[in-house]
Amino acid sequence: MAGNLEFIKSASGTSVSSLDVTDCFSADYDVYYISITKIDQSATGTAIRYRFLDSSNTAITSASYDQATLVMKSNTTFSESRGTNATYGFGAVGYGIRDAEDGVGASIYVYNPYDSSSYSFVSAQNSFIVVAGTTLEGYKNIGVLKSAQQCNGIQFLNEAGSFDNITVNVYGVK
Amino acid sequence: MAGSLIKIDEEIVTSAVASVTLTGIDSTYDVYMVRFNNVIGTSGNNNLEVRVTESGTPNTTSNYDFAHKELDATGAFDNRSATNSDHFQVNIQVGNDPLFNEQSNGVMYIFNANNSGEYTFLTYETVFLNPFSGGLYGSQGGGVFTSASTVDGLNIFFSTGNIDNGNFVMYGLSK
Repeated sequence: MAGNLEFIKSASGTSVSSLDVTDCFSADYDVYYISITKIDQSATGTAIRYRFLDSSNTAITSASYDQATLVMKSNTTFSESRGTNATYGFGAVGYGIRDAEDGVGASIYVYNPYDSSSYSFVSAQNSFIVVAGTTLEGYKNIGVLKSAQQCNGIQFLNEAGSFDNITVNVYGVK
Repeated sequence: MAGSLIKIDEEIVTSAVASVTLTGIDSTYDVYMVRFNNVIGTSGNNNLEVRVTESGTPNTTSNYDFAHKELDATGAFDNRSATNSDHFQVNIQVGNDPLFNEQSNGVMYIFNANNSGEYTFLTYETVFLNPFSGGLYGSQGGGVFTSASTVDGLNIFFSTGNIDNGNFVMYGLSK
């Protein structure tokens, strides 16, 4: 019997400044699940951001992204991150995932991205290691692209530097 | 068969209903998932709430405990919690203006629901816009129905008014 969590595509990159996951959203699904289990950033202490791709698979760079993130660190008190009208989304993946022995597990839900009459919403949770394997962090995150337009995909990019490695899997929740 | 989500029930709301009931929880699966998207209510500044059902009927007893972090893109985060409530409260102050995309979206996982020897546990993550500034809100947390009973579904409703629109789907997580 077929299931209802349907694999759509995987995308990966090596030594890339950003990774575009093109044409992963369609009219077939309202809700998507994205898993990320592998990221190595080339630069220390830099954020991982995302942008939606429009119907031409071009990154949407308008100042239309809001986010709120609970930052949970294993070695210190928790903190809050929030922002409105940014040109990118933040908090869905992690921050400062630098070394090969570190790692990440990111679980991201995307709602209504392909609906041209709806904003695109995100809820996400992740855990990751920073600072050479010594510090566990986890984010609880929400986000929205405040533009009602068809989004065909999603782009992951760095605040600075590049991805030495990145792999992203996208599923449709039928 | 590889692990997967198996669709159990689906309700698509396009005109006002007082609540949505997703049924079909039984002993087939230990864990069920509910996703909802584009949920809009009749009233703004409203709370999205959930009860379990037994034999298809919502349980309205004061056996619901919940706690979650409320994420807010424009202000300090809040802790929301209650014990001995008569419902789970998964969202508060939800907007309802479709012109401003004031919709609710989210995912819930339900554990041990059909096991009459265990409490029923719930985790949830939601994202929505509030009706005041169109601010981005979301909840991430969990709850427990503190009655060891045979739960067979979820009843989802707004604290005031009807559900005007929304897609609600329940899945079983295959073993």
